[in-house]
Amino acid sequence: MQNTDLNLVREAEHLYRSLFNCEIPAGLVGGYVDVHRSLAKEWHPTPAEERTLHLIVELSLDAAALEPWLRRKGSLHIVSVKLLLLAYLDECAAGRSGVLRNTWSGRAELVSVVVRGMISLLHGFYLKVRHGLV
Amino acid sequence: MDWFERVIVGSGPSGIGAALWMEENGTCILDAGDSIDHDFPFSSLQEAIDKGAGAELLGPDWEMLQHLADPSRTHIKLRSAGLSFVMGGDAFRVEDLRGTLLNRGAGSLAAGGMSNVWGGQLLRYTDADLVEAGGWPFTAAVLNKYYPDLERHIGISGQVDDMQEFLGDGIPLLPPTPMVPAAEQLYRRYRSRRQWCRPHLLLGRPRLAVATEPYAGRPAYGFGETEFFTTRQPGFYTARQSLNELRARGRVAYLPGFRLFEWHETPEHVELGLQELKTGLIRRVRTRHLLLGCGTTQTARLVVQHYRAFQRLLPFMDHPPALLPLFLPLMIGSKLPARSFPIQLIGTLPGSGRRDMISFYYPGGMLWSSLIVDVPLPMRSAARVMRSLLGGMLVAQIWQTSRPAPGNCLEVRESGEMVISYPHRSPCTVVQPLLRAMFRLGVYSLSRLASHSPPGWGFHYAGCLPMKHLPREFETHIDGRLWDSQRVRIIDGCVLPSLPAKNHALTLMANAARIADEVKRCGY
Repeated sequence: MQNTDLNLVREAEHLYRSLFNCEIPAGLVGGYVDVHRSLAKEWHPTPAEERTLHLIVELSLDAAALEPWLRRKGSLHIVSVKLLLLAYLDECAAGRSGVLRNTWSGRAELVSVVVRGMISLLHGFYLKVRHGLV
Repeated sequence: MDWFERVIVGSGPSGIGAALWMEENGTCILDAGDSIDHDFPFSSLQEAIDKGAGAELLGPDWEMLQHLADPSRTHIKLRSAGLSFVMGGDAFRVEDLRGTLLNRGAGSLAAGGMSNVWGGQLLRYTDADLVEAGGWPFTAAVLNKYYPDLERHIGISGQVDDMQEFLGDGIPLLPPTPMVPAAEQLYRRYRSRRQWCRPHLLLGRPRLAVATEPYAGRPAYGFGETEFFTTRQPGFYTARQSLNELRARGRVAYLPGFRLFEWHETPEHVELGLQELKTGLIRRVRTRHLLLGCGTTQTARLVVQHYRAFQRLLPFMDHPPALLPLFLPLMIGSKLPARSFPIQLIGTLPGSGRRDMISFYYPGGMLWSSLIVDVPLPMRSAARVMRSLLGGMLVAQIWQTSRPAPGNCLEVRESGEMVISYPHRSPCTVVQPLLRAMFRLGVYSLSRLASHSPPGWGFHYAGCLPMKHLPREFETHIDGRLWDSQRVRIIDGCVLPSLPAKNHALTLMANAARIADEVKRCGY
């Protein structure tokens, strides 16, 4: 898939929704595209990684649930890179989701988040196997 | 041709340590003098985030994101636009025995050198440290002559506590830095159970170059968690502050923007070849004494190039630390502090028979996005977990003594490329004893969560030209002179024969001051 602006916008919208369960602010889309123009040439994803990313966007798969199964030490999978990029942009930009920073929550929420996270992990594993993603 | 009695190359901790002892007419400090043009105009990280200051946090050219595809490429302290310039000198590669790239690094061309990104722990070496590390040609008493004056100049915060014996005699001058609730809880438990803890663990407050109240005309530190974004933090001492003070007093000459590329020694003087970085113009300077304090890798490169000894493998040491997250269950979910300093507590494990040093960090100064990839959950859950977890979390950074080891060496190639081979790494044996000691205090973790930094990530480089009573080739005399020289001295980490586990910054300054004293006393 070519990194055209249109594709990147679609990608940003889907990945952000998957990450933060809300629509991406317009300002972040511009940042997402801009970072790609500046840095994407250094990312060198493999064809398999590109296929995985393409399928995630085309089939609207839950990228955040899948990503831990693609994560690795050293150089990161392209899906991890793109989700992390959105996390940084969201943390540092005005009008962000508020999930990162500036908030705190008690132990009760921690338990519920961990349980939901583990269920999400199982779902991600199913998606990985179901679609043969690497 | 310019003439100076003494030329100090480099304005990092070593160069400044020497300059403070030679503050008189005829002394010249020479450095590349890099600094950063744009500022970080916020008093705290939280303020920057609240204002959505993406450009200042992520960098005008997205510098903070350049590590995304390969986080191991850049040290986390050097990722922001405001700090990445600090390591902008000649690059080196760190490889293992098979030639696999472990890490990349570079020397510093910044005014103030690597002190721009140091953690601020300024600690004395004691006799016990030197004996355990081995190879030192003198006792700590020699350095003790210089530590107190340096500590008074810098202004050290801390307190006298159980770590006094480990840290040495220096009495902190300023009150200790405030602790985050998790560290307060850990320290309170330690103090209430110390009779059971003491054989296994000593814990205390760190000694830091942080002005907790106004000191010597410098303002108090703001604790704005900006350490990962800017070098301009009033109240946090770096060598650049002393450089500015020396310049303001006007007795020491300062030549910024130059790099030393060669020297020629005669019985009467040393002639230096300098290149102006902006214009490329060559300038010649003569001096009676040359003191090289460009930082371990850069000084080693200059010496190898001077002797054209490109096949020579020089010994090399670093302190790659191990990191272990620690959790205080009762503190999880507690409110996060708005302001903090990274280093909260310092400890050691006396029962281990070693002198490893453990610094307890609170990671409040980091962007959470840098942390979520380490949580084994989907990122959206990890982000939410951070909100509860951080309040009850500290990170233990374990520093071990480092000694010269066969194969751990630095090679300078004819092209100027520097390659550090680091096949021998001491195994970190204190994780289990630390976990047991922490368990007794109600602090928990798992050994599998420990991560070991690659060589080169400790920034405590040393040992390329070790000082000896009777130096051979590529070693130095105790007064800092190169083995075959009368007028060229090495004053930085190159001369340290081994690295005790403590941060070596204050000792670099004290040793440079000692060598400066030798210059004044040498009589020629």
